Amino acid sequence: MRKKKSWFYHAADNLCGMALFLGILLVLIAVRREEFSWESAKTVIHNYFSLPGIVLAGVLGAFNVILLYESTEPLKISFGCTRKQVFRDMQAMKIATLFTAGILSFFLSGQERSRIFLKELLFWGLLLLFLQSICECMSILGMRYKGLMLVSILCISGIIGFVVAFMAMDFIKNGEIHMEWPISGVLENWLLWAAVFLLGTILLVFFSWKFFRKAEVHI
Amino acid sequence: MKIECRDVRKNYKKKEVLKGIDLVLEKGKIYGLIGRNGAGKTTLLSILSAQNPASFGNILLDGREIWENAEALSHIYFAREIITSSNSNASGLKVKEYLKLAETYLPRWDKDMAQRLTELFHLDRKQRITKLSKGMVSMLQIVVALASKADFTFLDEPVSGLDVVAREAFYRLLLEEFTETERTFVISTHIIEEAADIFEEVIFLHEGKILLKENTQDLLEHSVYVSGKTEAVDRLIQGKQIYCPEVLGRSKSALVRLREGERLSGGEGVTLQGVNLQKIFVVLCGGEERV
Repeated sequence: MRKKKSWFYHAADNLCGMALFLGILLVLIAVRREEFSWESAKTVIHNYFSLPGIVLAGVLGAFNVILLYESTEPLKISFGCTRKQVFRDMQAMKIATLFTAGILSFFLSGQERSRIFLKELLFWGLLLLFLQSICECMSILGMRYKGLMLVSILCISGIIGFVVAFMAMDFIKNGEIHMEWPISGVLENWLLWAAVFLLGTILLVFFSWKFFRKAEVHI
Repeated sequence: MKIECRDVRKNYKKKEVLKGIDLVLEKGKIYGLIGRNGAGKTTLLSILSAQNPASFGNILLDGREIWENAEALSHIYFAREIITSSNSNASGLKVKEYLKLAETYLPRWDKDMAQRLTELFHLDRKQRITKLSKGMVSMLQIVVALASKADFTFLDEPVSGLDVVAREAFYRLLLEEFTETERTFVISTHIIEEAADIFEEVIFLHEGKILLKENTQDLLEHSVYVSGKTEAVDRLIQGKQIYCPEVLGRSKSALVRLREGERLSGGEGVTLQGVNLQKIFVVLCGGEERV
């Protein structure tokens, strides 16, 4: 890992995690259907590699944020990195993960490249950025109050568990997963929600930096 | 090149851990930082390396503030004691991963030296840090400190948990490195006598204050333990700088610190003894617990 590109490698980790998880899903669906054709694979990719892809990459990114603040980031400071470098790398990782996952989702969505899909993509992108920023803020606070770190790990594990259980149940029942996100009402006011998440993210990043720039490091 | 510490204070809530530290660390010296448990040694070293913020005061490297200064920090490395409990930051890492991180972020990292020292100390690179014994963790701390090649290297209890052979190896390696590179080392330790010979200067930290910073040789040469009959001892030490006078029946003893040019000559009923660093430390910092 090169010093100046650490955010790039961590973002790549998140996207590889997403690809691995969705790849396994693809294999499971193929095995379940007992047949394989490029057409059906394409349909599955269109269905699951679009919005679920960005959601998965975002959640994995949130998990990675917690893990990094819990493990390597304090070590980086102890090896002479400034807090500004560490914090900037983390923001770069968050944005790179969601931006790349968003582009992948856009190109893998097949027929769904409509205005609504773009709105959904933006909505999810900002929501996930907000989620990652909450995790970041909790993790930084967790450097001082260890209990908070456990709370954020528990929340993210809960979200991942819920998504996986939801998908597994659907898969067992129907042999397919119908990712019906109940957000149509929200999408009618997408601009408002986008502004709320964006503002929330900016505030969280601001407070995270306030806490982080004077945080105590223990390794 | 020098590190300057100006009126550094550190508070944890209402507790004042460091109480206005003024200190200058010059290049090309080995300093011994000695203090009792809780004296503030680790806190001071972590502030000197910008790992933790000071509540008040400044740390300067050649006149430039080191806080959030990447260039200044590239000259400083603090090898602090690695916590091996499961909730520590390094707990999930293997030795080789820890060394890889050090290689990535320490700008003057000497890979060959790290490799050589890892083999010398028989460190298993595939072992997780949590699985290492206390001595092995100290060895890893020493490997990173020496291979960091930082101009100012601070070591916090580097020999804790090490057996006598490993401790001797560490002192030898440290002196070799010092002779070759003229780096500055600040070593905090409780094993005073063993390390006394390698300290060019000693810093006694007591209850958050610098009690003494002096050349080790000068300190030892100017410290004398006087004992004997009370009247004779009193006559001899009159007007001198004395510490911890003790009266036992008709005998008296005291540690005398001689000023420049001052001399003591033993008379009838008085014994003069040289003292070692540990004794001076106990006398100066022992307080009421001193035996």
